[in-house]
Amino acid sequence: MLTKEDLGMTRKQNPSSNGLSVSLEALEICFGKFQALHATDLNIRDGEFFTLLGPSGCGKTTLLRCLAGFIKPKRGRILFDDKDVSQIEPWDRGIGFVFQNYALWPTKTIARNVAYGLEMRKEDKATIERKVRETLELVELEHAADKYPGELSGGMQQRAALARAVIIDPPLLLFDEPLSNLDAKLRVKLRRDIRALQSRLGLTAVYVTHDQEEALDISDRIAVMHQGRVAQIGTPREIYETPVSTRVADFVGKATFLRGHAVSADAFQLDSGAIIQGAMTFQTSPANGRVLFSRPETISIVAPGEGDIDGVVHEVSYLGNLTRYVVTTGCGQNILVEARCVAQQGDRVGIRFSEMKVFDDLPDTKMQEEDL
Amino acid sequence: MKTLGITAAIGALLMTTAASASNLTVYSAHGDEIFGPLVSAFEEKHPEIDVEVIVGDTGALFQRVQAEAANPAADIQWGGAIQSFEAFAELYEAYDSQEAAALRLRDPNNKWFPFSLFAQPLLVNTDLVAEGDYPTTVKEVLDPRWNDTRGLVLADPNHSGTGVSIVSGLASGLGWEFMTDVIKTARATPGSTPMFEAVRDGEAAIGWINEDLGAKWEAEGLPVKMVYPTDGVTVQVDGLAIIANAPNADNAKTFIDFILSKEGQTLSTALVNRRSVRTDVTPPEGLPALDALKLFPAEEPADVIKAKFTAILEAK
Amino acid sequence: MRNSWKIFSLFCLAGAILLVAVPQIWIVVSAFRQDGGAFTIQLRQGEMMLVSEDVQRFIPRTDGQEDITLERPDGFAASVSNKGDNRIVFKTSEPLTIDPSSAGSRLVLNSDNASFVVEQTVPMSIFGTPTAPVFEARPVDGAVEITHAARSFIRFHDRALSFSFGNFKEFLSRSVYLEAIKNSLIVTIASTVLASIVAVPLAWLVARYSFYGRSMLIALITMASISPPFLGAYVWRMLLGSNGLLTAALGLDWTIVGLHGVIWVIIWLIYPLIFLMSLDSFSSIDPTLRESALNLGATRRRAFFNVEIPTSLPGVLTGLYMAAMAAFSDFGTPFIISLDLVILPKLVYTQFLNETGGNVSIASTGSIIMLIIAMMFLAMQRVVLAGRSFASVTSRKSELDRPGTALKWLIYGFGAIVIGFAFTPHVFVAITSFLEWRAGTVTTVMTLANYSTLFTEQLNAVWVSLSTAFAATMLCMVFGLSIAYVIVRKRFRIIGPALNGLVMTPYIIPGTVFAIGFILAFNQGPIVLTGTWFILVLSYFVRMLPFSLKTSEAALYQIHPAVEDAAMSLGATPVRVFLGIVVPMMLSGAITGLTLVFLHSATELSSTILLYRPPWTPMSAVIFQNTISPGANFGYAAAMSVLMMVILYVPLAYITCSRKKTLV
Ligand SMILES: Nc1ncnc2c1ncn2[C@@H]1O[C@H](COP(=O)(O)OP(=O)(O)O)[C@@H](O)[C@H]1O
Ligand SMILES: [Mg+2]
Repeated sequence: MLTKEDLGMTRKQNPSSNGLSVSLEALEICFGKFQALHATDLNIRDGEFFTLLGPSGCGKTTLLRCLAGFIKPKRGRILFDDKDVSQIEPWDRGIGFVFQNYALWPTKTIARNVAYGLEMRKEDKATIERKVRETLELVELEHAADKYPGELSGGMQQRAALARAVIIDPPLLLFDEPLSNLDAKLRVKLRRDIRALQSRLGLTAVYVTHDQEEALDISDRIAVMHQGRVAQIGTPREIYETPVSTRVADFVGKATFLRGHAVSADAFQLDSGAIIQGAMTFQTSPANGRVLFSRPETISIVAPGEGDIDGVVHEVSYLGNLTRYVVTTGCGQNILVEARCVAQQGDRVGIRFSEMKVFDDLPDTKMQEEDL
Repeated sequence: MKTLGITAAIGALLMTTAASASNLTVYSAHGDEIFGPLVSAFEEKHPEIDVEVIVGDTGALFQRVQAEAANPAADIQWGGAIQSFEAFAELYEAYDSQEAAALRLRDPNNKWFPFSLFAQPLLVNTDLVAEGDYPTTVKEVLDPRWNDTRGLVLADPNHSGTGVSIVSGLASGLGWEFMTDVIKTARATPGSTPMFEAVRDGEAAIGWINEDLGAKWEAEGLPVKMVYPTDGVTVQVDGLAIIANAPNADNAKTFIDFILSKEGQTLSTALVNRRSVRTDVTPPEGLPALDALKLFPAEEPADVIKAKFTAILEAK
Repeated sequence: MRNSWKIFSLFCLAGAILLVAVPQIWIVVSAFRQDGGAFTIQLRQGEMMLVSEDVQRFIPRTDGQEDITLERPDGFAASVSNKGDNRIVFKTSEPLTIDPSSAGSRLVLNSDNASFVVEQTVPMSIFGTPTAPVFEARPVDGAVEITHAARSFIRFHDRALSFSFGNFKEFLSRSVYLEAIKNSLIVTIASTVLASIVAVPLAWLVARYSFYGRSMLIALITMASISPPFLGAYVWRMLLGSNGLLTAALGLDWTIVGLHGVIWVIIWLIYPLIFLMSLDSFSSIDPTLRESALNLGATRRRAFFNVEIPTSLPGVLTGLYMAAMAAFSDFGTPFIISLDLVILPKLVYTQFLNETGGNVSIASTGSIIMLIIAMMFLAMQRVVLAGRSFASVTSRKSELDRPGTALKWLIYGFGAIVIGFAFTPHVFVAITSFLEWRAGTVTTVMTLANYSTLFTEQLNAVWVSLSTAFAATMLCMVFGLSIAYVIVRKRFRIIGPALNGLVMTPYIIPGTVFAIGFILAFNQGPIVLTGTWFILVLSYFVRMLPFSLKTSEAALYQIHPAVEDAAMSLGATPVRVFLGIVVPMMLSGAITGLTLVFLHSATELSSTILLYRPPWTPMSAVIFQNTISPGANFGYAAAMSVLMMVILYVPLAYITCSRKKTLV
């Protein structure tokens, strides 16, 4: 078993942290001929809550399992702090892993489940007992110590799984969609709990999810993945507000994409012929600008003719704080708006854009939708 | 699981103490009712010899002896038609017993020895066949009247030494034309016991039987009746042999001498209701004298019988 | 980590080769080898003729009074000429020499490519003084002159073996063998389908509902999965044969003897296998799967077909496969229940264990064909299961529903019928063990004599049975669990399938055939085991391992690999993960298989009768000794059967009841 010292961990950078930094250097993972992760470089800072976000099948789990050592990379290196761990077996890495399906052992009680990591480390009985009690208290499961996993609800099981992972005091904690089997409300509470626990213990966390809302809520930084590649790395705000591609923009948050071409640095002509004018950021050279992108909350509804373009309210859904409208323009393009105003289905309204970005191409999914 | 473990451990312990001190091992196709009394008498006469009997199905025993040939575990194989012993002659040790002179028949090569001799009359199920309908001749087995009453059974000579002696004997006495009809009419059972039991249990109306067993069944009041056909009865000789390279060959020879001796044969005649293979021992009571029967011993060898039987069956 | 499992699987493969491939290779060898053929001539009053029915592989060219000439397709020719005066001359296309092993009426003649055994049979006489046939041989220019009795049959058999597909050609062209294949398939498919109609719905009801006597029902069906050897078939015949007790009582004109009877008896032998394995997998379905289906608006019926059936499929299919194989290879039932029905296992058995000489090549060929058919069944099971990932982590106990009154009585009625039929033989035997038997039939005289002889004479057999069965069960546990793990999780490319194939093979080799292989392999050479306690244990172990392997596999399919990863990330090495996490989780499923291993080992007969030697006489051998001959003491066998049932069933019932309460 490696201790943090063995791993050459230096506490200098962040003395309050119990975590470690993770670096991937040109890491590639293959299953036979299939390349699940293309050469990837990535730096996760000590004590950071880092999220891998992406659609199902994009390779998040694969990357996470590779960090844990369950999968050996084909090429490239993984460094924990500065130590190359690529060839170290999972049982020698000393990191925690929380699984989507909890993976508690049904033949052991919760206390025995939680104690397992300490038993493997041959701690003495009294220490184990004390630490198990403390850790169960930490996740508010002290009353369930003698129950079997089958007797607990899903949320309790996941907290038990969390306790089992953190009891060995791991510098790095890996989560693979830990909340996806739980109902929505519990999901929100538990992800805050997880985040709070991580900051309190001061360890580094890598968290996998396909739920962008979850990712935006709890992450220090997010890596958006697509088909075995990292598309963008950044803080939640960067990812949301300045996506580097339509793909990222599409996957994170809601958005409207309008086809056409840029006619100047502040004018974009839609395919229907209408021209939208205003400040726009170009994520590509103006000559290649083919798609106009805007987030729904930056769009406002005004009287017909007063906005950049007119349309008819097609769908209305009341979200409480805001109302979501789908406005269909004359040429059949849908624009998503979230605003506080009153409009009815069928109303003719004007649309005004305030933040626009121009990209060179549409994400594949959008194109398909439009073709339909 | 735990309790089982303890029981088994105790069992294993107990067993290691159970040592075997036998110095003559016999593979027997006969049940305890036949070998039991004879083995006891033998052990009484030869207290220095301790006999161990392992019972098996006749066919299985021949194969066991064959499989063990390189390092035999047993000394004597007992039970089975002499034609079967003849077919496996390589497995046995020749022995020129001084008792052989008084035997009715012997193996020219001295590999096998006859143990007992019995006729094979017809057996009728009395629930299925009314008293007046009993056949008197073998020829009557072809009578269509059996078709209404579950018919005729015959042990397949491909699997049964009894089948060989019945088919071979009847073919030599009554000809293959008749035998062909019999084979085409009968259901072929995969051994002799299934044939006997088929009639006893009423699965068939008529078949053949070893007379000692038939007599026993009649005496027990089972719904069967033996009929010695006037036109021909087959005989079978049951044998035994010393296994080649037997670990206790001398004791095996002593055993053979005892079984063939006047004493042994008198005893087996009395105890097991079988005719003796010696000329100087009178047959058991209740069985008709052999001279009174028209006897057809086997003539054609087993391989020929089997080939002809199969050819007839496949043409069926 | 990969490596230590690889080393282990190589070790297992070596063991499987030693215990399965080496002993049984003789079957393969003899299936692909044919002797040179045979022919018989008959001599009578100076005349000679060929017995046309008994000519194998030779083709007669001329059949004259003076000369018989035959030719083989490979060009080899033989001729016999009658020189009169009780002399014949045997000549072949190759020069012959007389082998020194010739003795008595048996002559061995060798040439370059042939080795003839020449045997002379003279008519049996029981009244005259026996005369040894004159059988002297003398070489004449590469031919041999033989003297013979005036009346005799002389058989020439070329025993030199050569590689050939001839046995397969013969097997697949002769009507009797094709008929056997057809009947076997009918029996296997019909009995498996009918048994699953009984077993699968009942298993589902028992898995889903709680009712009084539930664990008792499970225990009873487990107990029904074994019955002392041959007993079921015997008793059914005694009850429903044409003179059977029930047939007579009801005044029916019918008999159970026949194909329909074989199917009927086999149904009641195999349905517990399907029931138990289906029950295990129905019980271990993650209830959330079903609930989420129901939440998503599926009806109960749709949840059943879309969720429960697919996720429990591996277990159900394993049960069906094991049952089909048991039906396919059962030789005892057709042997007793069908008089003249030809069916593969019976054919193989009677050709191997043949008192009239048998045909080992054809029996071996039959075995190989059985193996091929069995592999096709296995492949079918694999195809259905392929590409599915069945793992679900059962983290929550299935809540058992309370059945409504109607449903409850349906379950009781169903259970009663099933148990009633399955236990008919047992009950009948128990009753008759207190009755006197005479000449193989039961009387109405009450007696305790059967038991008193038993307790004074044969108690040692109890220890032999229990200790061998226990040792075999332990071995099956260790290797069943670990080999299942290698096969399911490690998926080594060549070792995996090879190991799987070798381990499963003994399941469909008839026990007696298997035992002959064991004797051939372990009666001489470096390892001599015949006649020992160990050979019984090894034979039970190898023959029953498939039960343990298949149930362990099914259990493993239901364990999500994440539970192993979880332990590994906490610092457990693969070995500790397997022993500390996977094994305890597998055990609750594998225990069904292990129970079957124990019960079947303790009652195993077909290989036992060839392998046992006193003092290691197990109970089944004692029962067998007292059943086979028509004059045997069945009462004693019945009493031993009852003792066996009590010894096995009482602890079993206890274990099953307590286990189902705590674990499921
Ligand atoms: N053991 C495996 N063998 C082959 N392909 C795999 C294996 N595990 C995952 N994959 C493939 O790798 C890709 C990424 O899978 P995964 O990392 O599980 O995606 P996700 O982002 O949903 O977690 C998928 O296309 C998947 O089919
Ligand atoms: Mg995933």
